[in-house]
Amino acid sequence: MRFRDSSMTRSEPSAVPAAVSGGRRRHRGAAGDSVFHVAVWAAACFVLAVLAAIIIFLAWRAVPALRADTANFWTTTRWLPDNTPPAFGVAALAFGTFLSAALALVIAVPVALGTALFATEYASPRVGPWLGYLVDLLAAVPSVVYGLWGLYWLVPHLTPVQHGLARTLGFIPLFSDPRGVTAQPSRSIFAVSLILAVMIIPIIAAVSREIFLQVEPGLREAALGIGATRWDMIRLAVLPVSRFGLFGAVMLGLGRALGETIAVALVLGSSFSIDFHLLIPGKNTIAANIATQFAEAGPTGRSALIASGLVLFVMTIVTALLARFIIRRSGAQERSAIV
Amino acid sequence: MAKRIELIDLSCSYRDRVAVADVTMTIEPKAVTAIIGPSGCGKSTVLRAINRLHETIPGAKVRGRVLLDGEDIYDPRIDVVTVRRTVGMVFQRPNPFPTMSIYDNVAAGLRLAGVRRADMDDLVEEALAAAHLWSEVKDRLRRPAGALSGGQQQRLCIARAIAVRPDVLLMDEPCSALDPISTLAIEDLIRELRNDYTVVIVTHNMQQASRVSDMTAFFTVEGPGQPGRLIEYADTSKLFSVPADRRTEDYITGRVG
Amino acid sequence: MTASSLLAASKIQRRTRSRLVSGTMSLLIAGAFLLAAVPLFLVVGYTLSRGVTHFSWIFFSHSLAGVPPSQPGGGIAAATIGTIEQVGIATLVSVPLGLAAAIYLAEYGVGTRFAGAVSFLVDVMTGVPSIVAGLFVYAFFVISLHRGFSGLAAALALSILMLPVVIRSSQDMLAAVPTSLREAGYALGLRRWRVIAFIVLPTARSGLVTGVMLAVARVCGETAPLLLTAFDNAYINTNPLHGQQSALPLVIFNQAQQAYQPAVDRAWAAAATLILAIVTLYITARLLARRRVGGKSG
Repeated sequence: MRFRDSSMTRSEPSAVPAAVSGGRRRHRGAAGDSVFHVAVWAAACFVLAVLAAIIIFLAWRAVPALRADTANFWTTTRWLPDNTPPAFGVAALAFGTFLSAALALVIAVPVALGTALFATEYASPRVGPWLGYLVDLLAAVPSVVYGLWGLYWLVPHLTPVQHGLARTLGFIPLFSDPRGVTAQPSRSIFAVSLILAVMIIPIIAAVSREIFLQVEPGLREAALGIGATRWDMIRLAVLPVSRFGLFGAVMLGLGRALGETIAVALVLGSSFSIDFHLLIPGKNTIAANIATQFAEAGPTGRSALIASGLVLFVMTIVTALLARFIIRRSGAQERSAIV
Repeated sequence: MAKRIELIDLSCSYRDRVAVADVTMTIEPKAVTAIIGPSGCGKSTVLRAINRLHETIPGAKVRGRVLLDGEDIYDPRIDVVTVRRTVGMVFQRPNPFPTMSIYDNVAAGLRLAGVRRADMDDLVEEALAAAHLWSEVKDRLRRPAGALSGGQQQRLCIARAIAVRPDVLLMDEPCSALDPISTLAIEDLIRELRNDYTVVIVTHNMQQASRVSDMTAFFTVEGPGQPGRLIEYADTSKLFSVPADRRTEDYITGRVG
Repeated sequence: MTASSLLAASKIQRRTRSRLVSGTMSLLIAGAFLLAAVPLFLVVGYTLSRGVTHFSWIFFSHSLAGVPPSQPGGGIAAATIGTIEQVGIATLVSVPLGLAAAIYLAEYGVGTRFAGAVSFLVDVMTGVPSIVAGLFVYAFFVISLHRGFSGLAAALALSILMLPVVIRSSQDMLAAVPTSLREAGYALGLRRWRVIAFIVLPTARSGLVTGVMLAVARVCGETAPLLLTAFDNAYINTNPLHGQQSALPLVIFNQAQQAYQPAVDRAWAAAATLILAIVTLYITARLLARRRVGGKSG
């Protein structure tokens, strides 16, 4: 998936059609032109309509559960919407969503940036794009397959790693194992974050690659000219001008990680808890919760899930907006910088 | 400082064609040498062979020798980064690092060379002064370089290049992206730079070459698809008044190119 | 730099910190690339190896009807039909719509604020989590319109996910067509819609097809929205308009969570099928792009 500011790559259609469509053929052919014009314009309007509809309907359907909720929707960690009386809240879910996404970013960003740098600065220009496609293929693997692999291959194989971490670094609360469960395969948020990281690496890498390719070649030569090694050149000429664009790429990855459902649902042994123990099973995300609870939920339950989905939607919209603003600013900065 | 450059049977090629062939000439230190010729004759390619930038293009090759005070810069024992630190370059479009301040731009090369922080301020000031930019920017050294005008940016690039005291200064059409006033200012600067450096300037502006240089080399292409070759190399005044070769005369009188 | 020899300076330079740092960074960066590439081979390779061993004629021709998780046998017939129908309908819906919107953005609305707003919202739409798309179709189509779970509902949710991808890639492909071609058409006296239909679209055709193929590849693995719209069905349901329907990703999801090995084996086999289909689509799309457009690709 590429992210490009639409105004940067546009080729302006010429002003000729206005002159050409005037004249004697105007009345006969113009109808075809107008119909076409209206049709494509309507399609564009449809996009706005769909987005608006999503927000409206979700909000509408979420209201019944929110009204019935006897607990505070924002601070409660329990999820019992089908109880009498219903009591549920997104606190634990939102926490888990952010934590897993943050961990995934910590792992994915260095790897993705390194991949993009490798493809643009180290590999030859003919090989580079193919390396990019290879990493793109990571994005083609569906999340349900990642979840399956995560559950049956990664978690068991991760056991020695998690157990080792818990034993050696267990004095740090992040890695502690109070109930001694890491000796067995642990469906932990650490495992989930690893899989999430693998899933968002291609997005961050692809956008970063585009950003790096847009760096003025003159800047690279300027750095080389004063006696820079390759890494010096990257440090001086490539990374500084790419800052904003890279931040946008990371935002895009974040958005993806926030919304990832199935891999998380399959791998995470869910519980509605808020804690920072990364290596033990438990915790949950909004998206995974919807996926696992939906089938068995009653009407209030489903309405409550819709409410949590709305919260998730807002989170991802904000992230996408941030990404877009930042990438736009980066394009502007790069363009106005040199003469 | 100011080394002599000898090009011996130099040929440069790209993946699909030879850009310039069989160049043999000696460029004197503490002098300005201009390289002129029609576009496509390989002037910039020759320049980039002297600071080993040509080889950064995939598929590009260099044959022959380039000696700096007798040492072949293409000797495998010699580190290319060292060469590029010894041979500075100023490019056609000013390319200061846009996110860095004026000070940091000039200091960039110094930092790469491992100069101590204590000495940095003085060296930056010297370089900016030598580039005739100090008085204009001394109060805003920490401001971003992108805020300067085109002419100022080019002088900043010159300061950046000479901050590391190179032995040679290469200039690839340094004024072609600038307005006439800035151009004259930089030409004055170039005349001064000859006192300390070996300056080689590629220019498509013959008047500039005659104003600024001591020696001039004329290159041209014999026919379509042919590589560029050195046709004539002489004192500037002599080349422009009584050129020895017919092709040189055709070019400088405007009959060709 | 004084008049020291280059050779001497080179010897010093080779040992400086910056050289070491540069070398180390090169290793780290190459390592990062390996770290990114290895999981790909791991996941795809392992899935194929676990899954292909359970391929059988029965697996592809039978559904899961009457096959409890603890028993072997049964297969993805219902799921395959479901996926083909759902993805097919989603493509039929989102491609014309998306192409039309892309034509508007690339040809008619260039520079207008309306087009800017639409473009912006398309970007936002790209970020809609798939589960939210499913929730919306559930809330709107399944509940409010009382249509119930169906393959069509699933297809609608998938269209919401495909639409922005199709729009974005089509827009890029159309914008890449040189203006000179359009002007040649106008100079011949062609109306605007003819120029678009007979000059611009054919020129961009292979790129457009590539974009659609990639969008389809992305969407046939989507599970989350299907959970809320098609709701899965052990029996074959060839009618997308009515009744719950199965799909490949749903089968994987459900079988994977069972405690019995035969079910998990079926999950692997289904996953292998899905991966083969997607990777084939993906590689075909890439090869198509590079061959026709000769370098410019989607």
